[in-house]
Order: sequence, then structure tokens, then C-alpha cells
Amino acid sequence: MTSSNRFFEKINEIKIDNVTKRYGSVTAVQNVSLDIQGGELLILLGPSGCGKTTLLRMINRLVEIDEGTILINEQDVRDFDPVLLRKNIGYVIQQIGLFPHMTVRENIGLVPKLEGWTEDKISSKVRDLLELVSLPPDQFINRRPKQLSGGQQQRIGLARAMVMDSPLLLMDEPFGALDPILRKQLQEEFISLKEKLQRTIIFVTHDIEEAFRLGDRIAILKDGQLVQLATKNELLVNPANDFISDIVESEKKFRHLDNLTIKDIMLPLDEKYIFQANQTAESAIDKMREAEIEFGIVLEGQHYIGTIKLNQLYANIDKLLSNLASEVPVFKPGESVTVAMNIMKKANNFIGIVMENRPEGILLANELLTRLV
Amino acid sequence: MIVQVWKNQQLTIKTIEHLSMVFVALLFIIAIGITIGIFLYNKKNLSGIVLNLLNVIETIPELVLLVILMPFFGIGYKPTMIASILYSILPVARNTYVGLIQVDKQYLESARAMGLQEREILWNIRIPLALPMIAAGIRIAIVFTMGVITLGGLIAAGGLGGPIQTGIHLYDKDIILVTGLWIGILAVLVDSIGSLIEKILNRKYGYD
Repeated sequence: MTSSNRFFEKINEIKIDNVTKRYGSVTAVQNVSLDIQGGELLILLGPSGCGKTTLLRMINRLVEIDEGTILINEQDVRDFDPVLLRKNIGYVIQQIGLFPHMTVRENIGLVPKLEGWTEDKISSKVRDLLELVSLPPDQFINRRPKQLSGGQQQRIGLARAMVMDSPLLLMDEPFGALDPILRKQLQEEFISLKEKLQRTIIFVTHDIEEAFRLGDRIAILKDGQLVQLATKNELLVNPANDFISDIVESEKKFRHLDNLTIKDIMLPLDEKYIFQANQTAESAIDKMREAEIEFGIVLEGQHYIGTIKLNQLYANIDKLLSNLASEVPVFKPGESVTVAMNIMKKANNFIGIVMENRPEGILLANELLTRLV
Repeated sequence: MIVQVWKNQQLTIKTIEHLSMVFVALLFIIAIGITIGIFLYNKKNLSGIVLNLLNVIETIPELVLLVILMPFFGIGYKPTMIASILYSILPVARNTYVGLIQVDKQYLESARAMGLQEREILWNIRIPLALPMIAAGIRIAIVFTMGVITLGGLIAAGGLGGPIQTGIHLYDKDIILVTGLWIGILAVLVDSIGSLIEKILNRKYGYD
């Protein structure tokens, strides 16, 4: 992008001022005002139909504002050419929308190509981005979307949104359609990515857990209106009304640590996560892709060996899983949550296995943290 | 009998003639059909009228179409080619138009959100994703064209319609049978090539 088409190097502030959007007689967004600070991750949270996606799409002008203004760094978004504005803003949607007729490289490199970058520059940028989203470039750069699992596609979608180095990312339920454990894995990756990138991110979700896990601040919307904008703690301590307290209540129910055992908060184990030690990594990759997961537990007969992650398998496709499985903490269902939390924190692992005689469930470190807030 | 008919009626040379007529007609059909399809995509309010007009042409029986064209273009090669082109524009134009229109919303939304202009979306997203649909239209056109060009034998257009015509005049059922079967086999062969191309395009540009 030529420098004159680069509208902002850095987001100082986005000011949404008294914005309204109507579709016929339906008011999708009504007099919403909120400020987004540069560098923060702001969550737009609410039930479906609350106007959160419409609000998001008014920022890059996929939807035009009826009343009010949106200012990015004090410039009205309507003063920009919409096409150029969108080149300055990354956008990720739940359906991902990777183009099926293009390879990973072509998908990520499409806008750079239209902007006239050289092939070398595109390749090196694409490789950097693949590294960033934990996909080995050699394995993935020439694949087509249909050869990728859902989680891999979503990572590519994120890489594509970042290709122009836009300081602002808009994300619309990017992890909404994924398997629950995979969703947590990606959230985990996304949190560390976010630290690295230091971008301003506006993130739409209807998942309160996700909101509490990822958000710096959370804006809760209902029927097109902003109900409350606050940090997690403020929401818990000072809910603006019953609607908010109902929403955050579900998050509080796990507050009494001492009474809780691991059994209460573990995710029950689904058969799809079970792999056998004498399988090759290649067959495990296929199975994971089919099941749309990226994490597995390796057993030898009924005996627990360890765990595997999809991205570690690609470099060793001929090896047996028994050689690739790595240890993670193991707990008994009856153990106390507090103890488990400390162990996982020390081991720096976000996944633990719950076993009686055979694996019974999966324990996620952040599951604990977010539920305990 | 087959060898005899084949030799006497010069079916090798007629087949080459026939296929080259089909090929030339298809070049025009594809060029005109896709152009009309893209044009209609750009002027959607005209799509109803134009597609209906093409539909009307297609409802005219092939034979009648040939007869209508004869006063203007005489007999032989010219009216036959024009008839086969007119006849087959509809499936290509319609499939191009529908293929461009029905591209899945998620691809359009992400293309727009990336900052692609409508023209860039047309060339980089819509047209590639419409290719399987366009290929399906071309396949229909191939079958139509084979038929119309065979019929052109009636008005001395050349190709495999000629021997059929001869057979009818001479009451020679051997000629009719051999040539007829051969045209049938040829149509199936050409169509399976079309189907193969359609499959390849589907694998490359299809949705799943």
C-alpha cells in the first residue's frame, strides 16, 4: 500500500458517537456511544440480534451509518474511501471465507498482489504470518482450504486479516464454530498472539466465557442498545442492572473453590480425542482433520501414554504416536481444584488429563481461571 | 457393412469436418455466451428480458430455425453455424449469469472486507468460482451443437448430416444405421470429455 493510502499507523482512539442503524422498521443499533482505546481488546457481547455485528460492520463501512458518527483517530470513517478504509482494517468472520480456489499463499497474498507487491515480498510475508499463527509454512503454504481443518482455516483467516499490518482488527465470532477444546486452544494461542502484536482489536461474541477470557473491556449490548461497558471485575462487582447480573451470574457459580472437585469442572472425554499408540502420525492427522480437533490423548490399550497436538505431527508423519506423545499433568476426578490449579500453573500446561482407571475427562487451566474470575 | 459404408461415405473426413464445425461453433458460443453472462451480471435489470429472448429462440424447433435463416443466409455452412450458435448461447449465458450471482456470501463478504473493489471481486472471486457452472452450460451447448450441425446436413452444410441425408434419399438403411450410430457414439464421447473437464474444474474451483 502506498503511504498515502495508509490511513493510520496506530490507533489512538475509536469514538463511536450516538450511532443508529435501522433496517426498515427494525432498529438494529440505537444511539450507541462507546470509546475504544488504542491497543485494547474490546469485546462486543450480547445475544444474537443485539446489534453487535452491525455495530462492528459500521466501523469498516460494510454497513453504512444512519445517524451518529464513528471517528478513528478523530477522523470520520465516512471521510475515507470505503475500499481503502477496509484495506486499513483487518476483518475475520466466523465462516472464515477462505477462497476455495486459491492456495493458502494466494488467499493471504491476494490484497498484497493487487497492491503490486513483488512475488518474493509476498512469499516472505506469508511465511512470516504462517509462523505467527503456528502453522509450519513448508507444510501449509501450498495447500487449498479444503485440505485444512477448521482450526487451521481459522488461523489462515487470521493471518490473512493481518497481511497489510493494519493496526485495527475486527473479529466476528472467529472461534464460534469450532470444537470446544479446539476453541480453547485457539483462544489460548490468540491471547499470546495479542501480546506480541499490540493491535487494537474489536471482538464480537455471544460467549460470555470467551468474553471474560479474551477481553480487556466488555461492552454488553441488548436490543441494539449499549447496556454496560466495563472491565470484567466491574461487571462482576457492579452490574448495571438485572440483565447484566444474570449474564455474569453464570460466571460466578463456581466461586466457592473449596467445595469443588475436578469432576465438577472437567470436560467429559469424547471418544474422538482417543488415539492409539501404535497409530502413525499420518493417520492421526487424518483422524483429527475429520473430527475437526487438534488435540488427542494417546492410549496403549487402556493405558495412558500422553497427549498429542496436531501441529507437532506434521514434521514426523511416519513416526508412531507412542514416540510423539508428551506428558501433561494427570489428576484424579476427586482431587481438589485448588491443588490442580497450582500444579498446572507450575507445569505451565493448559491441558491436564483426568483419569480414574482410564482417561475420563480433560481439564483446561483457563477453564478454572475464567470460571473463578 | 460398416467398413463399406465408412469408405463409400468417407466418414473419416466427414467426421473431421463435423467436429471442426462443432469446435468453431463452440468457440463463438463460449465467447458470446460468457460475454452476455458477464454483461447481464453488470446490468441485472436487463437479465430477465435478455434471458427470455434467448429462451424464445431456444423454443423454436431446430428445423424451423434453419428454415427461418435460409432466406437471409442461403443454404449450407453459414445458416447451420448461425443456427447452432443462436441455439446454444442460452445455456452458456444463463449458467454464467447464475454462476456469477450465486457465489456464496461468505466469500463476497470477506473479499469486500479486505478492500477489494467490485471489479476485482468479479475477476478474482466470482468468475473462478462460477467456472464449474459455466462448464456445465458449455456441456449442454455441446450436445445442442452436435444436434443442430447434424441437422445442417439437410441443407448441405457438410459434416455427418450429409451421409444421413444420402441414406434417406437412397432408402439405404445401412448408411443411416452406421452413420447414425457413429454420430451417437461421437456425441457420447464429446460429452464425456466435457464431463471430465467439468469435474476437473469442480475439483479446482468447486466449493467442497
